Amino acid sequence: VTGVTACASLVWRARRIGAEPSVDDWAGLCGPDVPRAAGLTHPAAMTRFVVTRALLRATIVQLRPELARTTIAFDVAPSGRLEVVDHPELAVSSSHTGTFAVAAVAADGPVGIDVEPLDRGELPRPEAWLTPQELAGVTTLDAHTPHETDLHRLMLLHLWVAKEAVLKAWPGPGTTGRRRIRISCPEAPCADVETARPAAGPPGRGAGRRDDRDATHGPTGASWCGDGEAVVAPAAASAVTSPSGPGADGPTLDLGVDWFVIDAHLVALAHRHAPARA
Amino acid sequence: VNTEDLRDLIIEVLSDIAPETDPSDVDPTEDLRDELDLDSMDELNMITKVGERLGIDVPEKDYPQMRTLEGAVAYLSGRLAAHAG
Repeated sequence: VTGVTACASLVWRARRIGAEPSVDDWAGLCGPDVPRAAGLTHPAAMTRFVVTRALLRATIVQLRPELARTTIAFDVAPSGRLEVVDHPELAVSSSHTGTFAVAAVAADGPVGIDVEPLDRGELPRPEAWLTPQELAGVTTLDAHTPHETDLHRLMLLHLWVAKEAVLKAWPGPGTTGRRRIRISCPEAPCADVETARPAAGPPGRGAGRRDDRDATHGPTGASWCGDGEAVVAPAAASAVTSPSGPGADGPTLDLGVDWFVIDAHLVALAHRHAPARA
Repeated sequence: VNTEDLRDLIIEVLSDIAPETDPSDVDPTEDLRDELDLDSMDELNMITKVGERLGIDVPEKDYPQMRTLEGAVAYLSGRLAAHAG
């Protein structure tokens, strides 16, 4: 697909894995993943590990169909970043919550993905992870919608998954902090989730790129499989992160962030800004 | 506040965050995220709630020091001692 920058494979419920003839055969763990999986003591952790690895392989094959799924191996770099053995050009990311897991891969730059259920309980105190600009945005929204506590919570949830996705995409040594990541137009996505229909957005912010998106494939190359209804949230944002903080001197990473709602789960995908489609 | 109080406080907070688990049974040297199947939001909730209860702000750069029960107790003890001094 021309213009693909990232490909996300979004999951089905983990319980379905039990229907498979053999989890091991299906997942095809190989390379360093085998001892890593063997070292996991919690059954839930093992299931998630197998599921996310299988998802990553499936997603990589979507983006690079010439690769054989069973030969794709992963390793963890000293920085903690997951890498595809023999394919340093591929960036991968995965996330899970409860019985959901998501995975993403990109061939042209960093990628990060995060998922949370829409009914996720108490979020951390905003001052601990929002920038002053984001806090001001939340305060403004609260002032206009003083009784919309769910809107307030949804807004925070959008910011949370976006920041987590950006953190995972951060390619530099070590990690940057959540308060060093600035998500633009944070007031937009909450209303978009409620309406869940395409809407025009400011140029370069992503929303305008969604006009020709359909239910399974969009301009960013996102796709998913599973038994949940997928709704493309018509909002996107930019994220700027820097070890020194937004606006400070030093290297920065400018990413696009897209949100998706799938079967009552909110997914954020951080990726390099998409080039114009041919 | 002694180390035993700090340990009890952390376990109490973790019990609220992950009620399906038994934080009192964790290996104090192991990563709490693995021991209790915590995700990043659980981890930050734990750090902020413990900090609020103790009246200290834990900066992001210090979060890795709170990854194990033993490490969290040591870190908080140091912070409280510095605060008192």
